[in-house]
Amino acid sequence: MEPTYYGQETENTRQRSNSNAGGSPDEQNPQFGMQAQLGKMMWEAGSKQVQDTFQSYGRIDLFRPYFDVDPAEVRTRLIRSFIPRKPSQIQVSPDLYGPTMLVLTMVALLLYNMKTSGIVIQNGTLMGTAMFTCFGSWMLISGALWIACFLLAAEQPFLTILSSFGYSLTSQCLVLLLTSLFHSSHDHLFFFVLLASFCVPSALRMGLIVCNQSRLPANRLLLIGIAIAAHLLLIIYLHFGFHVVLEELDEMVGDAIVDVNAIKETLPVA
Amino acid sequence: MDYPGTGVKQPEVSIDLNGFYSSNFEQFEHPDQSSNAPNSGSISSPTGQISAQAYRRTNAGAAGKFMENSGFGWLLEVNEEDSDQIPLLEELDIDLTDIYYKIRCVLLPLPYFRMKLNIVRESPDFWGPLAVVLAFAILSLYGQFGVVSWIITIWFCGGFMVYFIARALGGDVGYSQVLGIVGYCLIPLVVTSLITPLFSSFRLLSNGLGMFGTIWSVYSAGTLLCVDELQAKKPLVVYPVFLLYIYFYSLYSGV
Repeated sequence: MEPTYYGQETENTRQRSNSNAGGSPDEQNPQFGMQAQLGKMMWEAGSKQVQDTFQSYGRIDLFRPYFDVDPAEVRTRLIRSFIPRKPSQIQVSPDLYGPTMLVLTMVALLLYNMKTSGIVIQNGTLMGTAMFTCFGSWMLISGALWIACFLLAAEQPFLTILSSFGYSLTSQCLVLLLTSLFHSSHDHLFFFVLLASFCVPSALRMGLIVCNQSRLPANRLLLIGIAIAAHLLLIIYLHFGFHVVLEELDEMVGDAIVDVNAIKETLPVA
Repeated sequence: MDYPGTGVKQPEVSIDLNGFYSSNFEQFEHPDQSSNAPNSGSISSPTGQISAQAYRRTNAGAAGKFMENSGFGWLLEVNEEDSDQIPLLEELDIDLTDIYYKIRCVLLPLPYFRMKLNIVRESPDFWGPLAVVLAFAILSLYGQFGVVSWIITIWFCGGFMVYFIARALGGDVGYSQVLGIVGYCLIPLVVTSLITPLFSSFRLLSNGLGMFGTIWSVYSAGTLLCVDELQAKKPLVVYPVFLLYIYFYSLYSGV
């Protein structure tokens, strides 16, 4: 679908309009009146479709500044999301490429986690659940942070928060990946170590970004608290929400093994 | 054959009557037969059609000849539209040799094989990718009926996502091209998922095969998608494609 095709299409529709215009004198004749009206309707529908197509191309151009990034820029932003530092006052343009890809990565990791845990979802699919969870949490938490900023007089553009929260999901992806690869035992110590080493700095950075515009220290603390809580609660939910089944199963099997051992031990005595 | 009474038809009838009974019937007939071959049905010239009809009329018998001589030959004409119809495959723009070549292109993406990879991008078609995606959907159908709709949805939506990103990054690709490339590049996954059930008892091996198929697909799609403008930003285009194939593989192993 090249833009040139659409150019041709407009020409065709223009021709059609000319032919309709040629037929318009027939409107005095009632027999042709309906035909002319039908032609007019067709023309309107066609032109609307062409306009919509053009608008969709325009819409892509509208999003272009947020998605047109350099690989090096994305890399530095990903690494910086782990470093809790006060954001510079220089206005940097937020991009949405990194966050979108991170959320999609999270979907894939969550799918892998769910599959290895053997989770069965009754009304729905694993794919849908993972997509809904990841995109929903990204949008919802960003929205909540934006509203909190708005209420506590530390307004920031929604896109900045959306972008920076999206980038802070890097730590979540990393933790999910590492736990799914090396999570053999269920004491969750490994998870908490990862949480402390990756997610907490990232959450702190998020808090610093959110409270950047705030003047009152109390508001500042509140905003940092909200950001850190939201960030950590999300990863805790993602981790524990999709491991429960496996643990229960493990416990059941473990109990069964213990029972068998107990029976074996008791049998010779009896 | 058009409506015989119209003005357009008049010269043809006159040519017919004059030309057919002349002695050079043989000259007329042979080029005409070759031009009526099914492949070039739409290109055949009007003169060719006329003499073909004349040839048919010789079989109409004495009555037919009489009618024709008195100018009523068109009464006996049979509407031959059905026989002139182009084959269904052609009408739906399904070119099997083209699809076969494109499939080989995707299966052998390395420069060593010297295939014209650009063909897959430059001349996008719809039916080849659709067939590949449906084949993949059927392969992953076992025990899960919801998978077909998911695979097709992921194909369309993921294709749009890739198109959107490639477009935003400055690449000059169309949605149909991206759909075609994404669809065709599922073939390595189809191949690996055909083999995987043989090794289902070795979990690690089957997983490894799946990952190999995914990377193969991503490599093919990456080479095809990255037009000149996108060479500098190749990782940014290839990563969403990689995620897309991960989703496909994930759908194969369970919705």
